[in-house]
Amino acid sequence: MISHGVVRARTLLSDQTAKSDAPRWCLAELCGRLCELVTGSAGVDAGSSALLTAAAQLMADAQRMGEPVAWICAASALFFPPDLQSNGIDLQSVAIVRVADAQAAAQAADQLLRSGCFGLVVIDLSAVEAAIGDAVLGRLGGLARTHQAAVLFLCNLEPVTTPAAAATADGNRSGLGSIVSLRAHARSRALTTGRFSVEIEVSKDKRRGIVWRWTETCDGPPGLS
Amino acid sequence: MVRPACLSIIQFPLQILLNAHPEWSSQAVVVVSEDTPLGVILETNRAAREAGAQRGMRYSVALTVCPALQAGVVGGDVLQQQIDGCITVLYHYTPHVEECSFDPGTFWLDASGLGALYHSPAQWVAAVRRAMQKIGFFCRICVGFSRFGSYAGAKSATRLFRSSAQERRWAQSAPLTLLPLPPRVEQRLAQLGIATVGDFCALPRDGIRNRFGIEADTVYRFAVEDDTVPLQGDVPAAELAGSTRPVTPVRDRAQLLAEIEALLLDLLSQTIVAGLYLQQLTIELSFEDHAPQYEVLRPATAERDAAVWLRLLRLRMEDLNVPSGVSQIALQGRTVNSAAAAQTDLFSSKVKRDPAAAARVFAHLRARFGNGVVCRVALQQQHRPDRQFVLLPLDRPALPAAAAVSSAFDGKRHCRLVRRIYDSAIELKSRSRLRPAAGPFVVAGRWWEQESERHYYYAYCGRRIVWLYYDSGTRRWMQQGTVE
Repeated sequence: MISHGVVRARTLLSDQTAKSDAPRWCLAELCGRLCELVTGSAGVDAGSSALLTAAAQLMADAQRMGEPVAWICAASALFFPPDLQSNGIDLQSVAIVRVADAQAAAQAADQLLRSGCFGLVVIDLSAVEAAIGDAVLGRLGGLARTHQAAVLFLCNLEPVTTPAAAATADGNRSGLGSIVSLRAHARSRALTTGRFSVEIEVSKDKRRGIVWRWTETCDGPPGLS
Repeated sequence: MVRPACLSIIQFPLQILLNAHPEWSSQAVVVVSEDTPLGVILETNRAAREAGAQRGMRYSVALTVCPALQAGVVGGDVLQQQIDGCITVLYHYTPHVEECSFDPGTFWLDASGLGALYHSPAQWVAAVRRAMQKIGFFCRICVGFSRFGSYAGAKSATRLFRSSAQERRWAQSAPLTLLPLPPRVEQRLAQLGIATVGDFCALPRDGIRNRFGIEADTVYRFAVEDDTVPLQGDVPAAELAGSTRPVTPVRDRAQLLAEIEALLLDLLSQTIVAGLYLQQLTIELSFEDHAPQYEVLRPATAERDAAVWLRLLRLRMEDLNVPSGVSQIALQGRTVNSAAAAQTDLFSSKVKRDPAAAARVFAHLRARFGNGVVCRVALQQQHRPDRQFVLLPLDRPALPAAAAVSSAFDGKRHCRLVRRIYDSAIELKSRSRLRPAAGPFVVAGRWWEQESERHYYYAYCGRRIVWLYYDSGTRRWMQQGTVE
């Protein structure tokens, strides 16, 4: 008699085939591309921002593949490192570059990509105006393709709230231009006590040409879970 | 780790001569450069030495001290034929055999990865020696850590080095007679009191070339330069060549570089057409009033990528001394077939990440944006969230630790929402829009420094979750960050 838990190989294979074709929020999907992860856009339904959680999932995936990660932030705020560690990220190998504005962040990203050392470069512009020219974005996209790296911009389309950003921005902000290869919205919703659903809704994907969605269930941070 | 082993056939031309004339084995025998009375003695056996014949001596002079002396010439063709025979035998014992370009009868073998076939390096060495004896050659083999170290070991009958440090120390103190220097150079160096390899390596490079010639310079560079290029097997393939004779002798280095680049690109285009890969490039520069100069370039692996070759060429040209006008430039390329190169391509599909390149970029960013701009996180055992980590300067990135990543996140655990923490908490003027979500969580401060308690909360602010605290000392509400 077959015990519980044993699955037919054919079932596994067909399941695997179906999964391999489906888009996933992982480094392999974003590799060689310029991607934009936004939150707070008008018209998209309610839910809290999940920018950092979505980026953290990507960082963990990159590190599992042995790829070094760089985090560029243009604000006086940073991810809370213990939370990244609890998501399985090796903090020792995350290079952090702290600059003043979006232009400096783009320059730093250009240099880091050009070195060819990083498999994932996250550029956190959520607290500043994401004003980067198309020429610069085009160059970053070319470098990402050349060095097989993923470039992920984190942008906040809501009015800014932090003191550092308040000085430079006024009112609603727009995202990056049409150069980006993938644009997604990241938000979280409370499911039950201490459990959240993180939804990544890809509204533009130049490679696949379809709209797709990725959902993951998460615990809240200590105290909220 | 690659362990190069050097195999040196003792007095290779002499052994070839004795194999061709077995009846001479008990007589005094020498190898001469030419079969005339003025021919120079290149190799001597023990009987000849005991009779008074020495290396560098004229054959006619040697005959006066030893009338029964037997002599013979070992030509280049014979030498190459025997070398090819040796290489064929050696390929039964190692995946890579590299021939020494300046010392015939010396080969480097790749001794790594043979542990499943031989219990120890000594057993492998014994097997190779037996195989060489079967084809009539007595040899010495040394398993070392570098080309030069193993070469010096083989020449002095040392079989095995335990560490690279031991090898380096030993090689530096080895006698100079181990090196294949011309007899004339050996004598002059002895007159100068230079007796060890270490003394020889301490001499200035330019002086070697000018005073002792190209052969001595080749040996000097072999001894001095840390040659870490992997062993390259001699898979026979076509030799490509090209030459040019400028209208007027070239004195300008930039013009010389342009001429060589044009020839090199032509050579590389030939390799692409023929499906070959360029393994080694020899540049011969003929001067107006100087002896020809040879430069040898060799990449890490056989390449036909022009960018790689041009970069190596420019690096070499930066250091090149051009004593007078160059009247002719000749390039000779040694190639390997595409099959050998394609085998390495199998492993290069993934981009290699180079931390050294990132370190250079970090230096650039520090210079551009300030010294504290590149950093990494170090966690601390503290109660207050803003003290649970510090940012430390980062000079060189580290590759992710696979063990740490896989153990912390095994795919079964749920991920957690990540908080954003502000460098400085922001004072909340009003709490009217906030809806409590969780808390309070009391965190004690450093009471010995009169720090007060903090009461941490999570609250909804519209759609967002904010992270805030009440400072019991200042009685103010502060926003620590957000949950994203």
